[in-house]
Amino acid sequence: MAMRDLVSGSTSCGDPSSSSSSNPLGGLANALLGTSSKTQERLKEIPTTTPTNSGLQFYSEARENLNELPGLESDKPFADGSSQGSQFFNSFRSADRAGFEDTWNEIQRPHGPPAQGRVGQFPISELEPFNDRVDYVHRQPPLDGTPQRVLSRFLHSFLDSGRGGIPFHPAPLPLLGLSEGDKQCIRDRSSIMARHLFADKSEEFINAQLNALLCSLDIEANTHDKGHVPGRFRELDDYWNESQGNLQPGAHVADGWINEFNQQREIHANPDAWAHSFERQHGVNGWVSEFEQSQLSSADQMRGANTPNIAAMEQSRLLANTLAQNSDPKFQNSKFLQFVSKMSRGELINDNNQVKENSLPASGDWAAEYQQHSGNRHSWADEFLNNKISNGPEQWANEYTTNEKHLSTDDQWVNEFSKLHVNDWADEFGEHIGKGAFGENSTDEWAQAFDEYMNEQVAARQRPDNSKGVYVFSDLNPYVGHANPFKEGQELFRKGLLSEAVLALEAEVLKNSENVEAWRLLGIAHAENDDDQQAIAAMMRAQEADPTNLEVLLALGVSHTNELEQTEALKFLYGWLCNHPSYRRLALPEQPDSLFYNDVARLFNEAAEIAPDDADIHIVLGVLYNLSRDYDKAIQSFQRALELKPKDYSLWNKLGATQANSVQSADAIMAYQQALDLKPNYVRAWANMGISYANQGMYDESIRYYVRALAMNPKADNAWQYLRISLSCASRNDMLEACDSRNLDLLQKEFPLQ
Amino acid sequence: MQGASSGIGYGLKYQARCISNVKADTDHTSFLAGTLSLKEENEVHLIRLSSSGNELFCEGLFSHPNEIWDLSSCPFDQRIFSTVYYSGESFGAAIWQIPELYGELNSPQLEKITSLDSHAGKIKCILWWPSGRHDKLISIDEENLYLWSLDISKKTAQVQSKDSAGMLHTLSGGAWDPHDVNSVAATCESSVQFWDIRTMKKTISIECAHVRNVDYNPMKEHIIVTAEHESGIHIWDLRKPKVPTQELPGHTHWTWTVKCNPEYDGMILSSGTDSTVNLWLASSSNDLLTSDRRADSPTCWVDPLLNTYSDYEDSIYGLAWSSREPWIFASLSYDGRVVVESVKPFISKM
Repeated sequence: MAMRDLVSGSTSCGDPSSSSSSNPLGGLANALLGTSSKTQERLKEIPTTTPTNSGLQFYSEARENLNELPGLESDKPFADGSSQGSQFFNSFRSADRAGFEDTWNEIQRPHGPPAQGRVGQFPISELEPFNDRVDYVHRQPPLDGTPQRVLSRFLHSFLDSGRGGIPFHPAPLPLLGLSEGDKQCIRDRSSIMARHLFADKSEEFINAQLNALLCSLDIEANTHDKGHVPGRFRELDDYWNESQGNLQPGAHVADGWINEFNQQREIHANPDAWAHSFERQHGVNGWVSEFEQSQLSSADQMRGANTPNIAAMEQSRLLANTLAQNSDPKFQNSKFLQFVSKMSRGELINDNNQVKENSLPASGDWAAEYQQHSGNRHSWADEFLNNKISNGPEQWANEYTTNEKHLSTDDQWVNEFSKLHVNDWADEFGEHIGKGAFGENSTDEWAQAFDEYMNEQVAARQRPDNSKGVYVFSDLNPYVGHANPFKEGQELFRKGLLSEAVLALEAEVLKNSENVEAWRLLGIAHAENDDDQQAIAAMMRAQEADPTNLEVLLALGVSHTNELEQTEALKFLYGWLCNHPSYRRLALPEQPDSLFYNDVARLFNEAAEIAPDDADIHIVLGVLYNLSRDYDKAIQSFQRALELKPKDYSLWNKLGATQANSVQSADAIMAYQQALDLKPNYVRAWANMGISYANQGMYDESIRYYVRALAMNPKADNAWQYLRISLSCASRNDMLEACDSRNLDLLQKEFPLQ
Repeated sequence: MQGASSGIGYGLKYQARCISNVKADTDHTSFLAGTLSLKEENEVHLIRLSSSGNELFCEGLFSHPNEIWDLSSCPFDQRIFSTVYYSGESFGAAIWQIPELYGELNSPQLEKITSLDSHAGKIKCILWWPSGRHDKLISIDEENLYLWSLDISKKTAQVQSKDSAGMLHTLSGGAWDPHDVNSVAATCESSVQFWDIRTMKKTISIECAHVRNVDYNPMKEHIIVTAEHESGIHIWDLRKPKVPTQELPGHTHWTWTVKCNPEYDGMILSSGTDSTVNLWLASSSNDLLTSDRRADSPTCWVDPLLNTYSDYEDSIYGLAWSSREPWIFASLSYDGRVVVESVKPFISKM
């Protein structure tokens, strides 16, 4: 995908009509297209160096808008049919790289001094041409300055290498003073993002890129093998050792979560390191103290900033839950478990690196309490609120420092990936404060939104029967506080960075819960990320905000069909018809009490007779036939729709899924491949691919596809379950543990996709 | 092939053969399981899947006087079910009701609505009217087929009509056609016999080798699936009863039970005495199998076996799909272990 961005510039939503005029590369590409297939390979590596005046539009216009937002129609002058398109890209992939220096230099000349290095010689000079920034001040940036600046530039060059598809080389960097938490954060997010960026590349290439990046930043590529790291909480250590002593034979059971807990802790539990590195970068009198004075007059206003503590508590809660399922009575009684359990309830708080007992009533028999507790979970939220109030303002400042510092790294990533090109996040933040973007009101709003969302989550846990349909927000969201998370989310979605887009869009809907488009896009992102529950929850919110939105109604129909909820699915598909300007006259005169499948199917068949060239009608028909398991007709409908919309990747996936469910796995794989050619980081299609291979008994292949899908979205719980089954079927029980501990590094190493 | 142990387990105390989906419970995914212990007092467990879907818990536990050989939940009342049991020398059959406030009683007792007493032979199974509230029941013993009229409020059951299977046949079980409620299938050693219950006369029969179990495809009319003695599974179109439309290899030992998914056409579960449960996806669109398609593109022909669940230690006689969450099924092995699995991993999403 990154390749296509390069030539097509699909990251912007620019005017498609200006395609060939303002983009010399586009012109060049067109000129070369029919002439020499060998020369095309190199085209991929040519960035759009067109300078633009807009600060955000770093790519030239979308010539072939492959990554258009679904549902937003735009003409695609380049798309004369799928065959040509894929041929074009295929020849890209296969052709020879050599003999392109001339072309390369040609392109460089009009825009600046000739590139000094050849590809692969020296990272900075080689990468710089890819930086299509307007200001060429940083043409050859020395890697010095503040650590922030160095890191920012370095990460930029990594991303740019991704766009160019050339190997990224490690570069010597000065000491950056990254804390473990920073590193963990960079490692995790860059790993997921690299999978999205290089979705069309081999696993080896991705790993090489990642290793080069992490190596330069002095980050170990793999921390999963680390055991329990002693020292930070003495108390925890003691309990841990005690529990291990009790539990020698069964110790391995706990290894998985201990690692997990350690990783979690590295993020949350090291305020000192945070503070130190922060001071090193910004001095003790940095902006934080200023900010404190101006903004922290009341602690309540900044409630929203306390996310990490909540997240840590939530993490402990999950941990305690998992532990409670361990039936070994010795383990159940161990102090370690009690400790974690207490922590999960907020009775113990991690305050300034010390574990303190909360002022709330201490536990007697923890197990009984836990039982009572899990029946009535809102109590932990109450406790937490109490706890929060009892904290003095000083603690708040500390916590806030910790928290803000954490966000800073994330923000940087945001900038990296959003091409905001803010040289120094602190400057930007200052600006925001200056502009009042973070004024007291908005802070209040954030705090309020956060409270609401916490209440919602707590409520959701209280009524597990109704939890379906309640949107579950991510714990740590770096985009909360972003100036325009919606725009950010759209951009990220277009680039196919689904998991990031989800975060940005979540930040938007927390701020602006009535934003239909944000909810809708969030729903689509979740569906493409293979999470129907969240997709439905988000789409329901979109539908609440705008009950007549056609795309939302159709998406809900599809998701409910996936979940086999016929009544619901019919309701939304019929709603689509009732709200469609062309077909609403077909709708039944009165809203019937209950919809019957045959009535709805008949109405849509009538609509198809009226407008045989409306792809959407055929899509809905295809979904309806899926609902009645009339797969042959469903396949015909989708195939008809594809004649009208050959570039709709989600449509190819619908066709594939239908074929797969009607025992035509081989055909399904071809359809999925079409979807992936159009959208390489379409997690659902990767997962579906795995299902189809598994259903044909080709477990080894299926494992590779599942692992690939999971690398792009480790939160895809279904895919983890599927992977487990394929591992068992392939007699790879040796990897089950890696699957259960969700050790993606190991799995990727073991099952690279060719 | 190793079975994935992703299932959720639940232990009955004793050996058991029978598990039934509680179709009338639309709020929960629930199953009823009955034990078959020679010495101990037998029990009926009302088992429920937690809303999170990762835990099975005992919603109710009731003692039952005899070994349970067949158990079937009433399709319109979740507290009513039927059992076929063995008492001393003879078989009996009864309709039971779970007490209303069973959760608040210390040792809730099942209430016997009525027993079906007219049987002379060894009773095999009781069939409820396929869907909705209805007073008709079918019971099958080795020699006869009975049609009953059940009055729950009066706690009576009257035989409406009966027919003999004939001297040469010993009936072993049956199924009620969900598409045509006048038609009932019953299995004997070497054929499946069909009755029209309006006339109580045999209509057609399918000759095949020793059938153990039969199930109708709830999604497609005229399609039945049979488990054959010689370990295979056959799919039949009743309009062409001479040869099966498809044969699946079944199990390495006897295939005991077959169950069609209530929603997914062609998704079939089978279990057997080889201690495995097999999940099949058999396309019932005949043209796909018989036409030249198969010859054209041999890669399109896929093994219909989706998965083998082998995490069992004994023969499996009990199988039940959930009607509420049709991607979930429960299996019961003879050692009394209930395992609930999800087939979602085999379903592609649009």
